Amino acid sequence: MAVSSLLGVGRTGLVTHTLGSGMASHGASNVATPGFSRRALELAGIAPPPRHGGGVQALGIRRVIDPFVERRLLGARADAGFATRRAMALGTLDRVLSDDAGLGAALDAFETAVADLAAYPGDRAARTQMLARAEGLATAFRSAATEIRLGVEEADQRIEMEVREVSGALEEIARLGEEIAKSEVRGEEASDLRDHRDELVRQVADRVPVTVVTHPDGRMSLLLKGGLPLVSPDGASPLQTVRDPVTGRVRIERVTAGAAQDVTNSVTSGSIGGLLAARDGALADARADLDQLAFDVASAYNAVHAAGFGLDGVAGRDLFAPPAAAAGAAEAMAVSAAVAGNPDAIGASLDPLALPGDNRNALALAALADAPIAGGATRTVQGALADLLAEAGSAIRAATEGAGRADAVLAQTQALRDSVSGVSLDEQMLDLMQYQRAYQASLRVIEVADQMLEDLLALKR
Amino acid sequence: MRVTDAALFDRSQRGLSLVRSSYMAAQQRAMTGKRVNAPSDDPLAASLSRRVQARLARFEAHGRAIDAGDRRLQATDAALSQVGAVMDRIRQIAIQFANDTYGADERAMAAAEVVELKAALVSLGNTEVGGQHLFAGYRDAAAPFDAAGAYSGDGAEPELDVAPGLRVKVGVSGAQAFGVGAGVNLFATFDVLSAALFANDGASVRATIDSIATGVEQVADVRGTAGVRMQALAAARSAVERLSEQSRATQASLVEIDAVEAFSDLARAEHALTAAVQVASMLPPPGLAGGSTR
Repeated sequence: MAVSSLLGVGRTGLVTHTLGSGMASHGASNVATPGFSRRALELAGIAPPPRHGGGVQALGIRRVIDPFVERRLLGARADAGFATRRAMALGTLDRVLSDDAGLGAALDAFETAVADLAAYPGDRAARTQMLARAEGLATAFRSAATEIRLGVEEADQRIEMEVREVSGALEEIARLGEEIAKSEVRGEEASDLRDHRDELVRQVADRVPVTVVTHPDGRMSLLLKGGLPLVSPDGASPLQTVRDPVTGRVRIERVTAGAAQDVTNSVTSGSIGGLLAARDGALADARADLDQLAFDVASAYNAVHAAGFGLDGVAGRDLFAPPAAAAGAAEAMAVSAAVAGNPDAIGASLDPLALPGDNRNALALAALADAPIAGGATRTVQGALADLLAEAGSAIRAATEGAGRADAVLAQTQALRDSVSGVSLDEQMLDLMQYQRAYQASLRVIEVADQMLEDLLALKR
Repeated sequence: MRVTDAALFDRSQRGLSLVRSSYMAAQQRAMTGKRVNAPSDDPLAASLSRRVQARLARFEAHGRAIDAGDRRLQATDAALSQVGAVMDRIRQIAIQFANDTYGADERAMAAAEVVELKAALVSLGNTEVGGQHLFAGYRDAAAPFDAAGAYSGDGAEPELDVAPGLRVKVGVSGAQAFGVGAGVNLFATFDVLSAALFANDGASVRATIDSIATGVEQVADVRGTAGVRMQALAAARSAVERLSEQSRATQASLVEIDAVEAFSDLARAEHALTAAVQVASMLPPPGLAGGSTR
């Protein structure tokens, strides 16, 4: 081995350990970068002479990741996105149904005002009070139904927004795949592009359930649950939203080669799945229950009220505006035009000749509070409302608890991922010191080689 | 296990947010005094509480119905007691002036008193409480008796719901008390007596004594009926009060939280929050990156 080749050995050390210091610094700088994976420098000795000068070479920089942990993390993020979003969307329902919000209180006030009317059927104050309580009940139904509808619409708008974000990310993932493939063909380092792409995949997984298939050339396929590709080596198949022409609700479509395919039912997880579950689950149920209850209340009270005579001796009036169908009944609930603003029109009497003291129809109206007029003639109105509270409350509670659990699982999985791929500053500092020392050693090698060469040349003199 | 810097931060952030949310929940419980503030806090309790609250509201309505009925029956009783007094006086007059030792002048004076008493009886028959004429039945807006004693009421006895499943009559029939349509018509009896006295007809005066006695019994019977109904109301009142008390206790056990428990929960949550904040503010240890460069 030639003495001069020692200089070459020293040079490989300088180059390699500069690279190592750069890698450690890069890692330390990215300690707070989401999705950054720590790097490992793969070193190998260069075969000794005669063929080469020896020394060290960097085979490459490797991202330290565990594909199984990554896959679990995608699932955990989709589950957490689902549970958190669903619980958040159902929070509306919790507020609407909490006792301070007043549907129960309005119902109590209405039923007791009807009972009070029986004691003073001819009294204008009692009639005015009952009319006001009927208005109050209608208002409570209306505002509860409106709030739930707004909650549903907000869910739809969020779905539209998040689908747009997902589509943007899908395009970006496809583009990055191209870039990674090209870079790596050229032999360039693409770890940061890969990290960036993985982070985008995780952001997609927060919203819709996906699985990842990687290809040898660095491209990636992203499959929606059920196997439909959202990203393939040929490019992205973005998602879009459309409004269902019948229900007016948002549906999700996958666009590929200009054709759209409905994939709403495949979105069973992720935050978009959570919004769909809340919208079509507890929110829809509560809305239908409220509508049915409003329909039952209006129909039953109208039927009894129509038999009664007002102080003007006229019968056959509705108490509430008669609902055409259960759907939308809660939001349309109102005191009928025939009695609104006209307390004398309340039909408390059964006999136009027994006015004003005849309270028999008022008693019949009051008896409706104990009659099974709701839930398909099986429950009282208060009973049906109590059942609604139990059902909706359980659904909300299950969603909240589910969110807590999914969050804990996500935290664990994230910790696992961090323990494999996360950056530890201490480690980076140690690496930095190590490469610094190695760099110093290589400098020393060059110094020694230089000295040796000088000594050799001095022999001639 | 490798512990990374991000993991340390994540953990303390997560811990803080958990402690914060449990602190907020404890604070709300302590502020409202309620364990169940929304249905999701305890769906079963919220559902049961709705039923109990509905029942409590009904009990309050029953209480008001009992008050209304009681007021009405008390006034009826007082009016009938005065009617009884008038009837006693009439009986006295009839018995006294049945005796033929009285002359035409004395009987005429007595007749004038009977006419006065009839006016008083008409006035009692038109007794009104809060705009309701007690003896008019349902048609209670107008006075049921005219000056001659002709009845324009319908003799109905209005009912009210005063306890769960209990509907009682809270009025008496004016027709029955004053003998309109059936029984002894008090006004007609008064008319017969005053006419007989004016006519100085001892035999006719004597003939009224029996029907007056029947009339006295008739009034007493109706008054007795009112008394029985008042007793029924009193029984209903104590039943409703007892039921309300039970329901209130149930309601309290369902949704309310003991103040001591609420505040000790809050204190514990506050303690945990303080601790979590302190721990978080201590993160991270400087490590190799935080030391001086040389």
